[in-house]
Amino acid sequence: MIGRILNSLAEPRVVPKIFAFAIAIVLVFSLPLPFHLNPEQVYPKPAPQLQMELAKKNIDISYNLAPYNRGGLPVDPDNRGIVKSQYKSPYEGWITAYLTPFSQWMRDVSYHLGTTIVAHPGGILDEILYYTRGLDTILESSILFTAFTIASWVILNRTRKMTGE
Amino acid sequence: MISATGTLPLISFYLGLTLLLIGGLGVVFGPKTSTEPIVRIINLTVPSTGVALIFLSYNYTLAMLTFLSVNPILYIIMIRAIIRLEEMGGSIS
Amino acid sequence: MDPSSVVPNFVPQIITNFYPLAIIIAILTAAIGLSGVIIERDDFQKILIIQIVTYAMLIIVAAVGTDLAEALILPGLVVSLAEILAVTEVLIFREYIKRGISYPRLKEYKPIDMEVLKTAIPMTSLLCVVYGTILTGFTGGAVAGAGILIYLFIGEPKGLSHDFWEEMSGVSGLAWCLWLLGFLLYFLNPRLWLVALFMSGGGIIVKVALKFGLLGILNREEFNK
Repeated sequence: MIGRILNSLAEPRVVPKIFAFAIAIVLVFSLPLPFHLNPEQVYPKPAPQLQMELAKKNIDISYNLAPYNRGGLPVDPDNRGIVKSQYKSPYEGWITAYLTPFSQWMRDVSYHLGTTIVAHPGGILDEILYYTRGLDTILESSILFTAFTIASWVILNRTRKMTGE
Repeated sequence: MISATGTLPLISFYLGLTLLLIGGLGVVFGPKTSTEPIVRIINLTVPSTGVALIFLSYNYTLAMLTFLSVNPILYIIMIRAIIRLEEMGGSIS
Repeated sequence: MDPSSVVPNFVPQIITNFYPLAIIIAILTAAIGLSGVIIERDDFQKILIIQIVTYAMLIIVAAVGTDLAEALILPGLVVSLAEILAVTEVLIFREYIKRGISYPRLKEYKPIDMEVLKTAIPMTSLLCVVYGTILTGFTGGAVAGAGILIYLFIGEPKGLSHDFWEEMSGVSGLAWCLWLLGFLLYFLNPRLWLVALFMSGGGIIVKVALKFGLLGILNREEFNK
């Protein structure tokens, strides 16, 4: 009897269903728990739309970088970007404040390119992704690389088989 | 009185959550979804709009940009898979 | 300039107010999606339904409302896309094996003949690639990859052979190595952070964009022969 149950559980068609069922049970039973966010998080973000509103009132000086302005001047050790990270490092805040010459030009040209400038090298997200998180990002990108390798291997081999090469 | 810091994130947040929930129901239990996978893909655009709105309400503009550019690639991959599977035989299983 | 006006010390009040509702809705959506996985018996349909669960988990991460959450979301989007690509490929390949090599092709394949597809597509894809190059990183890879993919699907690429794309995938592997070297440079010698930043940002865009391009050219070969 137990053997039959275990055998039916081991069937590949059933395994994802059991897995999904287990996760669903855990999630549903966690619903009545009280949720609240501890406000003391690392890398806090300003309130939504706050930087744009401050820029309109001319309170903030370098407002062209909103909503990703984290303060600081490029390549200035005394005037770094404001980062509240978990581990202290001597070069903290340099990448956050850094702007390439091209992004400095973009900042001078328009008020609305903050997102583009942050995606360019330099900025808070590059600091988190490449500097502070480090090996985490390597792991995530290895998964990406493996998945792409599997996919392109299957595509290449099957295509060759189909075209008769 | 509509204030940019208070009201606009609220509107897009609640709208996004509603779209996410309704779209999720539509993808899973919507009409004709179990026989036609293309209907499921079309329904999938509703919760993805909701997710984009929620990113917008949190000011995750960069994440929203990536999400919006990843979505068409996702649809292309899925529609390609549907075509390949349909080529091999009428019913997909 | 007051620094506290630029970056707060704590998560703002509005985001802590958002948190419970976002978590509850995300859990409900995930439960709906998982119940769909349990009910559905078709494998490809399961992949489509799993997307709902992915969206719900994205909301759970996003609800924290810090920069770290956004940095976690960015690679997660691209990685989930790559995983879905791999899983659908393996699924299609499994169906081929089940049915043997001889299979019926689609009887007729009529490409859509529209004026806008001929004129607008090269411009759109060029804009996407240029903008993606400006962006760099994971975002730029996704944007440039979308541009390449659109062009390869709908435009008329000429002179792109199989070998060319094998060389291109070699280039993307080299780019990944460059990216890893950039990381090592961060840890071994943080004084060179600027070089490391450009190496990492440039490597990942080349890698992601070229992989999507590979997908596109192979699709063309399959469908148009």
